[in-house]
Amino acid sequence: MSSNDRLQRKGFLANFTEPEVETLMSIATKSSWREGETLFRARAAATHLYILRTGTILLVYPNGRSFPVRNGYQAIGWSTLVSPYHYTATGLCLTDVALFQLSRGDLFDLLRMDAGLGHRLMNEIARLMHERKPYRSRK
Amino acid sequence: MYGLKAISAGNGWLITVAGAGIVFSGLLMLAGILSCMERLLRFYDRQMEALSQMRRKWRRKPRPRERVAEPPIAQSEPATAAVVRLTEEERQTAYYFQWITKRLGEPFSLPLLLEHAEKRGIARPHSRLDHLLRVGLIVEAEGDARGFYVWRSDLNIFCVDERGQ
Repeated sequence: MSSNDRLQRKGFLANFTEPEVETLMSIATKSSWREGETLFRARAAATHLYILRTGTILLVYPNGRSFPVRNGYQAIGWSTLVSPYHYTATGLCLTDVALFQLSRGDLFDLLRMDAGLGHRLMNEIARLMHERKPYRSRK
Repeated sequence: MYGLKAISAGNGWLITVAGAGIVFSGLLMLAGILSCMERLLRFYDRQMEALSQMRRKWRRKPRPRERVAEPPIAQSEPATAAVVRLTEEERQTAYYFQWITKRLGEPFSLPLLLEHAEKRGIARPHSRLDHLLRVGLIVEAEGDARGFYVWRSDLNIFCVDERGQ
């Protein structure tokens, strides 16, 4: 298995321990998308948390703001773990994209089993939400 | 009285010619206006652009008090403009994108730019936009306009071939 086929401790996963990354890897599935395809739409039910392996995704907010996510192992779709579980932005592939996707059901099962992992995951999600807050502003 | 005689007696021929004349002159006027429309719109665009530039200049003009508070200008080295290398195709796309954003106004929204680019049939607009963002030709605006984008004007564009030479 090449290093690209496995989750690595960088980007969103930089603060996780090796066993925690292994646990997340156990529920992750790989997916590939083509340039111009829409990964998910704003206000749709958030079913997956994505971790970007390669490529660029443009996150487009309903207010017209947007920003590209391209650094390796950045997380997309934090709404999967935050009520009301609706995506706040549309994910548009600017290039061909390879992702790891983690389903909401599997993630919640993990959180129930491992409180430490859950705590770290929610901390990272909170940091992500704070980082992207200016883009959600309606002004 | 019936037929052609009746038409002649009631000035029918004159009325017919006058009616046709009015219709055709109307059509001619309409054609004239439509042919000038592009020039008129260009003139209007230029005026609006000049007006917005003037407004921007007024806004930027510092007040006397601010002018006093300004720090002395640091003696810096002469600025050298950064260089961006684009293939002919990329340069062409950048030109099309600039043409679209001129109409959208700056700062512009990337999804809106993509939408217009797709409508105009620009090839692979998504990856081209990604490239322009990566080379820094399009940059994110600051402050309240975060998430909207502007063109960097201080870059020199160099044309290279597919091998990058």
